[in-house]
Amino acid sequence: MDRLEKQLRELKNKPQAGAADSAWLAKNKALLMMQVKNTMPAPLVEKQLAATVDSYKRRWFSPQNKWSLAMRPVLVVALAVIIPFGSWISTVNAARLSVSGEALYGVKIISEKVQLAFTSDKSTKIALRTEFAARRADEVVKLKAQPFVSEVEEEEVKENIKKTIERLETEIQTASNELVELAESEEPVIVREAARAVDVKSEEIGRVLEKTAELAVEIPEINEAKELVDEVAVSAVEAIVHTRTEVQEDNNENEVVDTEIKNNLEDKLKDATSEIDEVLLILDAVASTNTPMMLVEEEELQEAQEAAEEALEVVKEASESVDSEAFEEAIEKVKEVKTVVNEAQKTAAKLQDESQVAMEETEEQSETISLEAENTTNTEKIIEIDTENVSAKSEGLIEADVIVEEDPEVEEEEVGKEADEEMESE
Amino acid sequence: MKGNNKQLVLKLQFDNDPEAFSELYDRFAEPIYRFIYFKVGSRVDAQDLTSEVFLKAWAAIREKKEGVLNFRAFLYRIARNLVVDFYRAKRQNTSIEAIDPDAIMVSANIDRIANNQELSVVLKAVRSLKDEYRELIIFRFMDQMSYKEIGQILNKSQVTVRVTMHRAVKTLKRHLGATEEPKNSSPQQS
Repeated sequence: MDRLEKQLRELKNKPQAGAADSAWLAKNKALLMMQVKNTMPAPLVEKQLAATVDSYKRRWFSPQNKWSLAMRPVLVVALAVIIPFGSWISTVNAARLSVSGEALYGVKIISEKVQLAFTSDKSTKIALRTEFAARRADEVVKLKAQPFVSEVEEEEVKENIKKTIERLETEIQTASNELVELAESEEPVIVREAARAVDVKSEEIGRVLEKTAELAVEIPEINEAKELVDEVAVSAVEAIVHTRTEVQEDNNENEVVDTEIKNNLEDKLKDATSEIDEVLLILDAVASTNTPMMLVEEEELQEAQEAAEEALEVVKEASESVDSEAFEEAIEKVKEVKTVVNEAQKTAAKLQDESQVAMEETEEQSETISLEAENTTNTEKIIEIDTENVSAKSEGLIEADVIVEEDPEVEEEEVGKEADEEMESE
Repeated sequence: MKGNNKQLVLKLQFDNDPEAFSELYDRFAEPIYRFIYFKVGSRVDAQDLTSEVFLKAWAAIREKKEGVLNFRAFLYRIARNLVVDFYRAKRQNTSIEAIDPDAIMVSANIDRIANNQELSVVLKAVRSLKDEYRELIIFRFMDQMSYKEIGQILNKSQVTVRVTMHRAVKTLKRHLGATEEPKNSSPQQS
């Protein structure tokens, strides 16, 4: 055991066994200390400024201004501070536009965590989380637009996008989980308000992520995040529907809520219909270019088309449920539609990609064939020329022979002269 | 800055002494980080969650009018709750029962310890323990806590902690034995 104990103690200092990086420890401490100092009231002035803080709280922390709270981190920090510490506030300000991988991003994230830590109201917390998730979506778009000059930089950008997506998913999922918990303990009015915030922001996040759709082939996490926000948006409406099932005395309120739910579900079904139409367009385009030479699977294409058409049927059924105010049934159908649409979109994107690749390969092959044909023609021409040359040479040789044949006497005369000279010398 | 944890918490709460927070951070940041790291398997996630632990601790201390009795246990409780929230937020694990921290640990992409095969083997064996046993091994041998301290964190009696520790060590040795070749094997003689 002694040896094992020694080894376990030695492990303590290895990063692989959870030893924290000393640089991170120091940086994290500095950030936390800044925040701690900024939230410590100076005792002497506390009483004097208490009234001012109260009036700010009434103005900025009222339910109507939940978004003000979420949109102004500097203000939140300032409200918690009796004597503002300029360096922290200006740092947080500077960090607002930063994205993952940049120096001040840690400050941005810490300031968000501070806001959450100092918010005790559950529905405000949920609103904050959805706002933070929306910020992550904006950051993904910014990261996508970042230029890179090398493969290494490209990989870094992709990694930063993935990390940002992970944070987005964490925030939106936590917001959704907290909404479920809220529904168990809070008044329907409060639950509805929180659910509306989640629904609105989730839809917004979905639209923002659409702008990064072309990246989804290389970074599938983007599609996963989009599916999650779709689910969360529907769950939020579900939470509103559940508040409706409780006995409510005020029929006017019932009517208002029902109208809201109807409008919301109809909007979701309209969006789903547009998405299905787009999928069908893509699949038709793939089908029209699909020749026997193409590599795209016929069967897969057909299945995708059938699934998309089936989804349209489910949309119709869901619409009928909405019209008859069978909201829970409608929500189940909306969930079904979303699942089918997501799968169909993925398949359509994949088939479109394969079709594009197949078309490019076919074009390349055609070009190669043309080039080869051209080469063949050129080769034939060269052969023709060579043949002519050979013919020309042959003619030349014949002429040479003729020349030789025509002068045999000259040769004999020369041989004779040589023989005479030899005799004379003897 | 000297003083036991209780004194530091009281200084923090009633004297608004930021140095007290600094000292508490220095004492606990690393063990808290390690605790979380062995549960979530990712350095980035462990760093984020560690920051959150201290922020939440700070927010909670400010709200409480009485002092925190056991600051270390308090931090670990916050850390555990944050890890639970972390798992919940992962799409694939939406219920506590479905969470398998052991699987997360085993599948986590943890690098081998370069140039030290022995330590790599020990680390692998620690990772392969179930969460309950792994916690104890880390608390006792890496963080060098007493049984009393461990009991306070886990809200268990010292006896229970000792018994479970004994089982944890036995299991760890068994895992290590399974990765080692038999020492006394001799070649067969014809």
